Amino acid sequence: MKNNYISKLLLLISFTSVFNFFSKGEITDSLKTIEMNTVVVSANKTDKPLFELTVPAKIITRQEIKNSGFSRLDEIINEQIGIVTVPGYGGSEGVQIQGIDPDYILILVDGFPVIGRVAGILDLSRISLANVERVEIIKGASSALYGSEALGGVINIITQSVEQNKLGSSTYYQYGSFNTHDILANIRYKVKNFHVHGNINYYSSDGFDLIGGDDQKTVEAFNNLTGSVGLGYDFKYLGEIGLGYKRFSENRDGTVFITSPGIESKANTSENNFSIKYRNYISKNLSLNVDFYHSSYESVEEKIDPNNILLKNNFLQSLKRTDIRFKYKTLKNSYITIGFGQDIEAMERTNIISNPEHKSKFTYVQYDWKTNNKLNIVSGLRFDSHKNYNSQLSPKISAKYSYSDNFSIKGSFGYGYKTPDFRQLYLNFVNSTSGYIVLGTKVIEDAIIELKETDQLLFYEELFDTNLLSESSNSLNLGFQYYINPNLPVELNLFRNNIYNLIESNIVGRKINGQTIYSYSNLNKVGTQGLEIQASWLPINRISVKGGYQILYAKDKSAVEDFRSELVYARDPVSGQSFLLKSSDYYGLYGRSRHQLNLNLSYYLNESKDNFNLRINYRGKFGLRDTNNNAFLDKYDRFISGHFISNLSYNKKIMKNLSIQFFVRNIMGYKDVENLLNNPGRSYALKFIFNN
Amino acid sequence: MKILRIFLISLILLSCSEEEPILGSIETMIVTNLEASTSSKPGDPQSGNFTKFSFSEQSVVEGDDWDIAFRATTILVNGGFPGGEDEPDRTGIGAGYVEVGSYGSINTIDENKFAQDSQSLYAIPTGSGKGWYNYDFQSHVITPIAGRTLIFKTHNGRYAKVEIQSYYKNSPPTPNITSEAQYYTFNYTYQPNKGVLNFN
Repeated sequence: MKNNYISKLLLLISFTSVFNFFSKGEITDSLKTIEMNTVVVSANKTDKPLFELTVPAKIITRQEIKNSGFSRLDEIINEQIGIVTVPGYGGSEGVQIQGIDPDYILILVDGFPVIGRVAGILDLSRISLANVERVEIIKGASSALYGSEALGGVINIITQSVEQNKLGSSTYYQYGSFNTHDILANIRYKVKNFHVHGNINYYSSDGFDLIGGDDQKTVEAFNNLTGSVGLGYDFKYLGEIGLGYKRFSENRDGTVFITSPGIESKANTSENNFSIKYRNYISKNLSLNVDFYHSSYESVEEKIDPNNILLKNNFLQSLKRTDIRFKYKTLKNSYITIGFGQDIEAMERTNIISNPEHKSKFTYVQYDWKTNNKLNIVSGLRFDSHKNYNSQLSPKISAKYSYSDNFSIKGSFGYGYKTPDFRQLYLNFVNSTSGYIVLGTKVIEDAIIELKETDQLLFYEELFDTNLLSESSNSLNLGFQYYINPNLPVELNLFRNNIYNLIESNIVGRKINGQTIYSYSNLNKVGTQGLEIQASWLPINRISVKGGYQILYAKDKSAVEDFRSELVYARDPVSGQSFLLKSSDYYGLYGRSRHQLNLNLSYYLNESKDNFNLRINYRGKFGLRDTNNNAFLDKYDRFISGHFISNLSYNKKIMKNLSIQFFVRNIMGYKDVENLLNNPGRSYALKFIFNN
Repeated sequence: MKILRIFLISLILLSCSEEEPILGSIETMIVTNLEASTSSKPGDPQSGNFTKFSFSEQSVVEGDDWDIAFRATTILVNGGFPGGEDEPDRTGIGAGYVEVGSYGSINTIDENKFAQDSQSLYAIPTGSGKGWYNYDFQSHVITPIAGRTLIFKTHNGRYAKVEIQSYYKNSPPTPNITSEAQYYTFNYTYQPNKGVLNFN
């Protein structure tokens, strides 16, 4: 299969290389273009310049993506202030924003949600950066526009659009450590009212092993292929229409499971997305958007256990979405947006007996009000009605006040939620090795009846509430932006998120044979708060510096109560004795660093924009698990040490259409083989780009 | 007459001094590697004998004079009713409860908190976080919860406090999935004097 892909790709590359000679160079950005003018679509679901936004947002521009040389989304997102990637099941990488788990961050591509959360985490290394124009990150609860999952924020990946009236193409080939190949071919063509583009991206790696001498690698070999094609036509008075299709497929040779050693396995993942977008400017003040989207995600895992039995784990999820919205411009440049639509979501999965399908309808309204030149208030409200659980009303209000030309204040308050997922509702899973069984809330009552009738049930909590509510949050953000001089903006953002009704598994019964019965309940309350400072500086024409720092407190509220009630002790590792802990000894949630620092320096050598780009990322110490026998993370536990990871890239233009890049990742080679399983140490890569 | 009174009084005084109780001393011991294995495979119904222990005997016992009994993570008291397979008969008035506090600082016993084993609930509750231990789903390790002391009433009405130090053979400081489980190491303090509700 691998050889087939490579030969097809080489053919495509040679084909597009011919076209390179006929295409002109791309539009060059001026070095001084402050990204503040970049148009952002995610904050309001319509275009709005970054500097006007009333909510905290961060843009990763095309230039930054290019300078970094990264090809997957998780790599570049890990360098943004206040954002870390966290490893998940089977080598996947999820994202954590303002201390909030990956389960609660909505990921979109061109406004359409990415599905396929395995155990709650969306693997961001699936998403290729190949034809990405920019990445928009909106922080804070945003369910007023986007509905479920936008509890901690939204990441929207905007793909390149075809601008110029001609035939254009680009390719690149990158080779790096661990036998990593990354190949891209891209074609675009525009003539009069019609445009078409196609992309194909192949990525493969041998993986790496942190601890040698055993049968398994830390990250196994894998390869994936992303292909997309899009076309559009502008009917002028009848509107514009765009069609898009994207396919992703990945093979992993073997996956690290939490089972005994000596087990062989492989895993395949595939994703198909189809979209139709229609836009019509009905009048000078009124526009209409109609979007239709169908996405399906499939993952198949095969394990051959020591008894040579084949075990298969299948996961298939699909989403069909329709979203229709009108935008009306009122007097004084204010806008009203009204939208409505429907989602149909289905799942088939091993350990889920029925094939559930969920339908939900939604409607939202947003008012973007410019009261005068200084004050802009954006307020929104969304109503989601679900057939299977409680309906949601999600409000949001945000405002920006420009006190002067160089000082402004913005604040936002919003509500977010996440519906219980299919796992929490329908799972029927038996772990024979460890002796427990997990039942989703919609299947547990029937399962208990069956256990009673077959005399297998020892006891069951009759008062257990099987009506699972959505997890919800409210978030508050307060920001100040000050231009010390036109080349030095500084931004300070304070945030607070209260998340409640968090769904956790808990014991609800026991079978006669000793197996514990678990189900899910709305149990927990979590609070995250902190402060983030960002600054960017252009000291001279050739140098750009960007930096940011975040301090974060993320705590479980019932843990705070337990500490306050003097119920928590820790065991001294030397004497074996237990001692009482104070409230201030509670550190917080696992996997969250108190301190985080990111620095991005670029030095441009000449007018061709050859440059050096250095990124220094510091991640403060964090805890992975309890180490002193109290099931909480406290001051006396053992922490994963804080560390620096620095990445350097060098970009050079060789000829009119050819440039090369050289990268060193993790220059100092920092490793923690026991705890940082997604960190292979220092690596290198070399990239050849034909007109990109 | 007077001689008879003196004789009677001295007789009474003499018999009183003979009945004066002798106070036993409090014993604090450490038990290591008490084996509490089940004979069942993981996932199968738990079966096999419990390992019975007596505080006054300071050792594992075979007879009916046991105070507490261990099998895997379950700890029984010698009082109440059996709740599962293969449990030893309850032959005494034993009971227990879980107290929060550091072992050294817990010195008084609260009679109102005692519970005996019943069909649906043990005196020392089972389940991660509910009794004496936590089970970590990711590392698959059983750790005794810091600050939890088990208070017991023995089969014949004396009291003992127990702090479990480890569930693994030879008490490794950082046990993992390969450590040998079902070997208890614990401290206990035994109050041998009947009716005395403290460990001072």
